Amino acid sequence: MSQYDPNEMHDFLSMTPEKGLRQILVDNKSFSNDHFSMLLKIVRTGNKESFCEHYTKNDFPKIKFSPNETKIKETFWATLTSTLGQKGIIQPVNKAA
Amino acid sequence: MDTSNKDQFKKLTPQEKDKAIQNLVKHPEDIICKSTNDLFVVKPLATRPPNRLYIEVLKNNLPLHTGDELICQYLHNRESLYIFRCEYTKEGSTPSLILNSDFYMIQRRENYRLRFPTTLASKVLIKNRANLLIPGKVIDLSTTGTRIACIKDAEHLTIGDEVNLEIQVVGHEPINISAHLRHRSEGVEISNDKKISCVYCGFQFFNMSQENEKNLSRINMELYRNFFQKVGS
Repeated sequence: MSQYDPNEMHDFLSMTPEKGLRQILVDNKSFSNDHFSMLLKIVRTGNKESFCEHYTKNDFPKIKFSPNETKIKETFWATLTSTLGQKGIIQPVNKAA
Repeated sequence: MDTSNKDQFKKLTPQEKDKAIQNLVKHPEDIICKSTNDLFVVKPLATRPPNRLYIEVLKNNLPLHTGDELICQYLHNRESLYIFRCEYTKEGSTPSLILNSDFYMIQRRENYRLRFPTTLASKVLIKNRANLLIPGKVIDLSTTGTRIACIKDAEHLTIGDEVNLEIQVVGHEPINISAHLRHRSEGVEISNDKKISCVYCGFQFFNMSQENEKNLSRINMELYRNFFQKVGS
């Protein structure tokens, strides 16, 4: 995951209206509605700094997740990263540089 | 589009362009795009500064390729018409537009009548109720109406007349369309460096088929392309 810049990720996620973001990310295969609601909670409850910290440490802010969300915690960040990469939203830092 | 219309299209500053893109994503409007051959609609989904607009293409199986140039327009809040040139790209599975060129905007115009460049040959045949064919030349055109210069036989046309127009523009299929004559005025056209008296007739289209609307939009988009080439944007 470290090959991607979480700052860039946060900029995109926080600036994009929910409807467009949902349309881009949710495919109900690798990225589900549960991933999406979890993502919104994380982006909306914290700032860029905390987002980057949680991303890097592969952990989560102290917020309430639903049972379904809790189930996907372990793979959440990896799924988010691969989805954003697959959709062409982010690129590995070395590639972009 | 000739110089008389230049002042009506405002070139946005980089800051205004950024704001327009942000607004477009916040309040999505359909963007009409024209590639070399196809006219289609896309929806804006997200943006990534400085110049990326992620989109949803509403028609499947379009022969679009990364690097294709598109001419685009959208109407924002029903009051500002934006036009721009961009490049289509698809990195990953989300298509996007690369907005490296300037944005132009005109206010209070949903169907702005673009003046025909003198280099674009056009011919119109106006068929009135008596089936008389009156020849003319397109002066300006939108998707709702047109202004035509008639050098002869315009005395057979009166305000309110229902006519059939056959509009022929080089490089496009002829368009057959019903219209009402809404206004007329005397004028002068220059042809081969000579001043020729003419009558300008303003027509409003009615009973338009979707095909006609598309064909008119195609011509309009080519006029925008011509405009962008002229201003070098």
